[in-house]
Amino acid sequence: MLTYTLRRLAYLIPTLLGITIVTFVIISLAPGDPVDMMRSGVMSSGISQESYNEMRRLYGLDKPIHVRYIIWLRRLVTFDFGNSFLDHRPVIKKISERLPPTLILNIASLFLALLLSIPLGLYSAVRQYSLFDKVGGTVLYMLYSLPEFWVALLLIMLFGVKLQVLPFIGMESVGARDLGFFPYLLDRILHMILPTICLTYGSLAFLSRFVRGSTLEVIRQDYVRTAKAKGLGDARVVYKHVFKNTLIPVLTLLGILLPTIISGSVILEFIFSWPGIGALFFESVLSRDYPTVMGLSFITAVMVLLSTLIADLLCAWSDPRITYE
Amino acid sequence: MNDRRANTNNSAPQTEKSPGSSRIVWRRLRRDRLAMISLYIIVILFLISCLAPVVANNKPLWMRWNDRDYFPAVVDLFPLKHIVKYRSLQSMDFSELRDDASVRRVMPPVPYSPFETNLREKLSHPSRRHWMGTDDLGRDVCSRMFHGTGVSLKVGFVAVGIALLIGLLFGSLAGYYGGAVDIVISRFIEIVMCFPFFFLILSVIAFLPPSIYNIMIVIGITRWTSIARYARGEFLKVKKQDYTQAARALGVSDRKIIFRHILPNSIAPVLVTATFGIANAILIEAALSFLGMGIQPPYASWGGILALAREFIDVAWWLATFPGLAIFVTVTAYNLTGEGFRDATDPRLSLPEK
Amino acid sequence: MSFLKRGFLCGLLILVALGPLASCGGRGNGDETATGKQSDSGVKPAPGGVVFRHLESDCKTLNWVLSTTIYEVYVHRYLSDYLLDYDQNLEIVPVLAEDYEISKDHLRITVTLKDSIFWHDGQPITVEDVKFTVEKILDPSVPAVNKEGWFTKLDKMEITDDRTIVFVWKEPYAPSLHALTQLAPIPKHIYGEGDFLSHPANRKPVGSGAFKFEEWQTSRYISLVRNENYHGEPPYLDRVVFKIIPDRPVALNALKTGELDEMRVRQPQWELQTNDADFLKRFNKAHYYVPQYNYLAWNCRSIWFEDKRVRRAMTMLFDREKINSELYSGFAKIVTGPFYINSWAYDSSIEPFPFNPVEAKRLLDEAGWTDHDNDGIRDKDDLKFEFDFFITSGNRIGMQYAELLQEECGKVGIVVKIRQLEGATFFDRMFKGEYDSCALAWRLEYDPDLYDTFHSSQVPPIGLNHTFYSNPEVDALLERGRVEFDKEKRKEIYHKVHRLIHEDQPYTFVNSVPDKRPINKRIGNVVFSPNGPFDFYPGANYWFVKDGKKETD
Repeated sequence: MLTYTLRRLAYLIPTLLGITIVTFVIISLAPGDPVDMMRSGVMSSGISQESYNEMRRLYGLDKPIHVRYIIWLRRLVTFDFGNSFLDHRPVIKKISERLPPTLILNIASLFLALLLSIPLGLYSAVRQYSLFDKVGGTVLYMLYSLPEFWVALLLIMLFGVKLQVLPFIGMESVGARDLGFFPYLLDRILHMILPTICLTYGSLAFLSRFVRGSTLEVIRQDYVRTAKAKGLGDARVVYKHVFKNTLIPVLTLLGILLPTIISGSVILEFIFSWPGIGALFFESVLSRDYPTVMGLSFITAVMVLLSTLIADLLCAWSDPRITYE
Repeated sequence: MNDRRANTNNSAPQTEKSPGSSRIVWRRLRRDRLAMISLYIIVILFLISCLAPVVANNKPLWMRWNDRDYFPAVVDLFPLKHIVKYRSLQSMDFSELRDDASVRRVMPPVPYSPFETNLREKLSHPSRRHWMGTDDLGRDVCSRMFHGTGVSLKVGFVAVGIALLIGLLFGSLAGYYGGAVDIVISRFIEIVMCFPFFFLILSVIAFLPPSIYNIMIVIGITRWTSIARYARGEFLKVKKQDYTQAARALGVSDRKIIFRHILPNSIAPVLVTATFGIANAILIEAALSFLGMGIQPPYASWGGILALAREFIDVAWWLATFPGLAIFVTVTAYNLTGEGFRDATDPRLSLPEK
Repeated sequence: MSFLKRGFLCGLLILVALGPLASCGGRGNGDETATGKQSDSGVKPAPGGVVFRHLESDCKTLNWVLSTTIYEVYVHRYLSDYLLDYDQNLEIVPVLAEDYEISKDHLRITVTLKDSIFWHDGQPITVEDVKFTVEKILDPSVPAVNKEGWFTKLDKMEITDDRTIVFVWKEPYAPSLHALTQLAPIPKHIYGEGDFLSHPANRKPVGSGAFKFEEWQTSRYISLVRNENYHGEPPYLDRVVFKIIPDRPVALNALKTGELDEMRVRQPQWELQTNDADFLKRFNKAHYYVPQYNYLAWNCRSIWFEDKRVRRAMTMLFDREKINSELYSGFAKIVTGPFYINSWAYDSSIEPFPFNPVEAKRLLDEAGWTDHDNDGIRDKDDLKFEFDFFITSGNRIGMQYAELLQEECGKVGIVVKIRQLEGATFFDRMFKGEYDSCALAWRLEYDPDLYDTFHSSQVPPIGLNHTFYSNPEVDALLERGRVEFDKEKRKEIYHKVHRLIHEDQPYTFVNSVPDKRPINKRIGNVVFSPNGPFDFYPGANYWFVKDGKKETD
């Protein structure tokens, strides 16, 4: 087990290097560079050749790409991600500002999704081919088939504009901080409702079908049949034997879902004015803000890899059938 | 055994006589009413996408002009636009012809081309003239919907085709050979998975001029990882089966083992994933349109119309409703078909007796 | 001074705009008064209240020298006062300066600062600050891309006493006074130390304007509070809060629910979504022509457009009347040349080329583009007339233009291939001159100097003459225009330039589209310059809230 863990950790290094190299090459070779982007936004009247060159030097763009990568890597060792080209702030600061909103939203949504989909999936599996199973499955697939930006706008129109019961802009109302803890908390929660719904409804189908599928596998196992044959009631069989064993695949699933959770949803962040990491990534790629792009992809990659690793380890640890060759 | 591959590959009903498992799968599938309805919907959509030029076009189906018979809309169906006879029609303005009563003709049911703008009728409500209203340039939404059908279906199929190709290749190599190959490929899969999806899309779009095919490629090359993982797992499983071991012992070549024995047996679950992938690709196309990175004008796609609707959501309900419904129905159909396939191809599942 | 200075973000959903032209001494003729002026009869301004304004995108920095986008300009209009500024009638007035004096040879401008003016932290504003600011702008390691151009012809600055500074120019430069309206000093005692680019004060600015910085929550909001020690009349509002809402349909909903007090809306919103009785009861709808025009650029070096007959034919295939009347419902004006339509430099006697496909066909035939092989597509030397038309992805207006052009060109046998390019790629192509044609917009300054955009020496990759336009006559006139100080003579020069460029059509000048802005009626004292309610002095400094509080909660 320990060697397995160590080996998996060792694999992280080439993977991470690979990710950074690929990202670096893609973003650097993409047409357009930050200095041009700056000019395109504003187009000065006659910027001189001298300042054009000076700006390129300032951003380190005068050096060949491999040198730039090595410089970046060397800085990384000291956890220095450099300063953003756009606003000259440390990249790490920009990211730490944007990560929490994304995490809060996505964790809430994940929690909600699991809360709903595990019971749904279990019940569907136990009552396979029942009306509930069929109708429920179909309805969930229908939900999944609705484009999220469309749903987001309809919800805003309904709850935000027509009924005016839910806020739909950003994370909090201006000035809510001064109202005291509980009103502030309530304000934050209200702001989260619509984005969380939009983020959740689509994954319900996927998750609950997954739970259903893995439960079915377990139900067909011999020990369940034995338990049933022993005369144990359905409910007890399900909760005592089946449920425990379906958690393993769900854990694996979490590993698959994590990348999307951490990188955030550009579209929903855009619509709900949510100051998250997806919007930041989008903006930095568009403006060719190399340091921010690199910092973001490195940090998200580390988080994703670590969490998949943990999910795998948990899985390996809890499932005796898996061998660590 | 080998027949199963052929069967699950086609979403259309199999007519050939094959006594093996494909029959069983088909029979099981037929009993699943929802899946069958979904399958029919997909077939109908395919027909619509093929027939769009004769269903919605501003060119007549038939017309009598200079004492000769012409079938301009029908010609649009085929890549035969350079037939000598039709050259004289090249520069004809069909939108003006529409109100010209002197020419005898039969028009398609939706007598508008998807590209024809008419600013005087911009954003008009659904009416007898425009069944689904018009967009902000006065183009007939109904016509655009018909012509967009093909885009959505094509995006789904080609993108998933690409994903399947890459995913199966990497997945099978990793699963079959194991060892160093597996480690390298698994790392590569991890690398790709770690990229935020739209970063890949943005970078591809920065390099390739955006067109419908590049959109398909983008979706394809970003969506193959789950298929590869699946394929790898299946290969690992099948590799250990007795018949594979036997083939190996008999000295059958690797290629033959992979293509003749393992692939057919591991492809069913992979194809199920692919069906869901098609559904997903259609949604991604819509999302890309939202970000302004969808297919190129003047071509229509459902996602494109829907993205436009966002601007006019409180004044032009028809712009959001029809493409929204179309996407919804299509994606649901694919998902339910996929679900049906999954049940039907799973030998371990027992179906309820009727 | 210019409304959108030169800042402009070519973001997801807005019309792509390049920067400015340059300006000075210009004055809008004022015949374009904004609609929607409100009568404040009976309501006396009272202190208090908060106004919520809209930002489509967050600011990058609040260091005035580094600011580049229009959003930063919006905020700086409250935070920072300029040395000189344009007033409501677009006349130059001193603001932080008490007075200014121009020498006879136009080489020296002497500026005297007001007595006892203070930064928000209580330190006095001195000529040292002014000098420091200009030095920073000219520092090559400071990317003041949009400000540097004004001061490159500056020789030196002489400080004669605490309150007097002399700007000495290397050569006569007609826009030199205008340049000083582009100058808002930043405090030397703050920025003098530490790294300029990543200075903490960039996010916590100390300014000189009517409102002080209070708080900046990244991507959420920026709030400003009243400056009690303002050197002018104290403002009424307690606070001005900028809310950052990137999605415009969502922002419109926010406007309707009272979360915002004003925003810039687009044509369809203006026309269709803001006309119900309830909305009109609560909002004044103002529109005004800012110095801006949309155009289609034809790369004069490309094989398609090297011939001016072809360029003219393209203009004649582009139905501007129809676009204005049907796309904008009349809320747009056709432009014929590269000047602000309200400026004296604009020659309104020039008639736009009419929409005329027949004449266009004739011009194309004349230029040798005929359909030799009878396949329905024009060709010349075995080359089919199929060109790329670039727009930035998500640019709806550019797309509408492109699609209309595509349709008309198709009818005369020209294939237009519309290419949506992601912003950075688009500008990369632009700067390298690797494109056939594209849709763009310029934001202008009041000074009509066009040297940077039309002089043949200013071609890419450094210059902004991105169509590679070259006409020796225009070159000579542009050079003269920069050193001519007599307004009548300058006017004559620029009218000639206007006519020559019109003849050559390196651009198809499309139209100037007004800014359209609903403003909540609860706000009083909204005054307009020809350029809108913000970009002049004192701009929106003296807005007040009629009932003293927010309309809804």
